[in-house]
Amino acid sequence: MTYQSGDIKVQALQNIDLTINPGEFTAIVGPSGSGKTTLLNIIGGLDSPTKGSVKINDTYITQLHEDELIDFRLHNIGFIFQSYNLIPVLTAKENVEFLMLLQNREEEFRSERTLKLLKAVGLEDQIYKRPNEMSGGQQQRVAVARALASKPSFILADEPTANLDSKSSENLLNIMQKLNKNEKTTFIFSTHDQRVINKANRIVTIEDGKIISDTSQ
Amino acid sequence: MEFKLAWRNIFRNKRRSIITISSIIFAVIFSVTMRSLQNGAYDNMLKNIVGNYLGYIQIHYKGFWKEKTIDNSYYIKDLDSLNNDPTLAYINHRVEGFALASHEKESKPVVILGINQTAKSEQAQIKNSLIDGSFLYNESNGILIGKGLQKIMNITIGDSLIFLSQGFQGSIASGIYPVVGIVDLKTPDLNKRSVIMSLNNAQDFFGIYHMASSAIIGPKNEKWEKTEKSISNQLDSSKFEVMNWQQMLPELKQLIDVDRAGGTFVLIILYSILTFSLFGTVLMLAEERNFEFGVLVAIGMRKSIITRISLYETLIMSVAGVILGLICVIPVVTYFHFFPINLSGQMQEVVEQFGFEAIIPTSLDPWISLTQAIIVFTITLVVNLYTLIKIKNIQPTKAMRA
Ligand SMILES: Nc1ncnc2c1ncn2[C@@H]1O[C@H](COP(=O)(O)OP(=O)(O)OP(=O)(O)O)[C@@H](O)[C@H]1O
Ligand SMILES: [Mg+2]
Repeated sequence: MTYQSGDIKVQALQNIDLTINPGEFTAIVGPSGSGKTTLLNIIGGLDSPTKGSVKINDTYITQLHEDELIDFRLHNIGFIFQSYNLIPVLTAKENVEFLMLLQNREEEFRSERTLKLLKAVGLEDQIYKRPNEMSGGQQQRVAVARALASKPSFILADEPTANLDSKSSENLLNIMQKLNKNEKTTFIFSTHDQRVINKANRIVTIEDGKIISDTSQ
Repeated sequence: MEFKLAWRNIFRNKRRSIITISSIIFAVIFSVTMRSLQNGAYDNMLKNIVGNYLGYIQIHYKGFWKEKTIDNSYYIKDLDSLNNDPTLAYINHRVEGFALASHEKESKPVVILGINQTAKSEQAQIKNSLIDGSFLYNESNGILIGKGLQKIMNITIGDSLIFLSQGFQGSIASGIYPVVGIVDLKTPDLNKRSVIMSLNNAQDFFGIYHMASSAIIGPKNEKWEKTEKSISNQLDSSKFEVMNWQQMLPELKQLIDVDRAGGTFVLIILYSILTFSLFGTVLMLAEERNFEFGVLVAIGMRKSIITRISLYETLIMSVAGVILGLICVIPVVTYFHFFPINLSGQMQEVVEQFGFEAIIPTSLDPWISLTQAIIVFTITLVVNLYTLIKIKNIQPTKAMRA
């Protein structure tokens, strides 16, 4: 993956060959600028590699057209962002329900699943609050519920705890871990945080755009 | 859901939405008021001089307008067939000719206007301008004269004027007529040389029995163009000339055109201000939302849906602005239609000198509101094209890095 900024070409990733299996709880780690965000963006189809391909289940997403790719993300990938990125005019409940509406799910299915997910992240008493009425940790938990709502094959999270204090981080990680154990949800997340790294069962380390170690624990 | 998002977005930044809607309201109010006043003034002007005095349409013997001689008269019965024309409300035949008027030692050239004093539309006009004496009565040979002429020739009601002129086909025309009333025809020029008598007396004087020099046509409704066309089709164009007010009064037509163009210019400035103020809002909004749009595309919302939401938002605001603007402006315009603005002081004098009533009633033509509303609405939509282009070009990673 090469970025062009002006006349300077930046090789953000090279020779990445990575397979993530269902049910894994993978941390992508590495120093700042090593290519973690770029890797996650490419896996999620938000960026396309200059060379190479990404295959999810049986689809080469690097060959999809814009709308097909958007639809693919809607149905197959859950996203959690560093800065929560909830829709500010929607309540917690509506934020979670949102993707299911885009998926044309039945009303009954939607409200049932929304409540179940908000309960799973411990926010059943906050469902009518808007993002600006919640703390960062709460917003990020809504974001986890939103990412799960569409029943994706896996969830991508780029530094999900970077903006959270240690207590909220721990709480969030516990929730993610529980979902991984109980529901077999696949998580791929990047992080700097050692305590977060410790919870992962697979750790992929990159440096200067190359994978330098890949260990399971 | 799309509509809900649009609706909530409007309430998200209340102050900005209020400013946006207000500028739309203001533009609608201003443009509709201005156009209504302008068109109202023209309508009134036309109604007064054209409608009552000159007529929207006149028919003459061919060549009369260029050379106003008695020889260029037509037989009234040749136009009788027009009475069956459904686009026509009335025909008033008039005789118009020059003469030399004498009273004691004074002599002045005058224009003699012979009118059908029994016709309601003719009465309305002349009776309104009567400032002394009485109107023309049937069978009398009394005349009315302009107040300027009265002054110059030092005439009191009851005095008689002697007229001398060339009649039909070179005959000598002469007669003596008592002055029964003084009229103020508003224009100084008309006042100085106008003499009004009955159609019969004028025909007698000029020796043109059963003939007249101009036929004033009253169209059935405001669409005088239709009447003009219908008449022209029926008449032999080698014998008659059909003229509309724009041809007879090119200066007035020009005045209106220039004034309207001035109004259009002011409106263009107004529209530009509206465009820029809306564009400023849209620009800020697009920048602000860029991040959010990026997130939406990333998590799986198609750009077409985002575009629709943004369109709904614009539509809701511009429809609200246009409707509220119309709600504000229509009562005002209606009020000033029935209770017109009265000009006063110098303004009043100037306007009256030109022969216009010193009032400006607003026009109630619904087309004015409709066109202004559509223009403002279109501007809002066009300005929002920017947002649509912005959405089309969104790249989630770039948008979210900001
Ligand atoms: N849009 C871009 N244009 C040019 N260069 C870019 C762009 N995005 C990333 N890069 C470069 O690619 C390399 C990898 O960046 P990336 O954001 O993936 O690192 P990261 O591991 O996520 O870092 P951090 O831990 O600070 O988030 C860096 O050298 C960065 O400067
Ligand atoms: Mg990063």
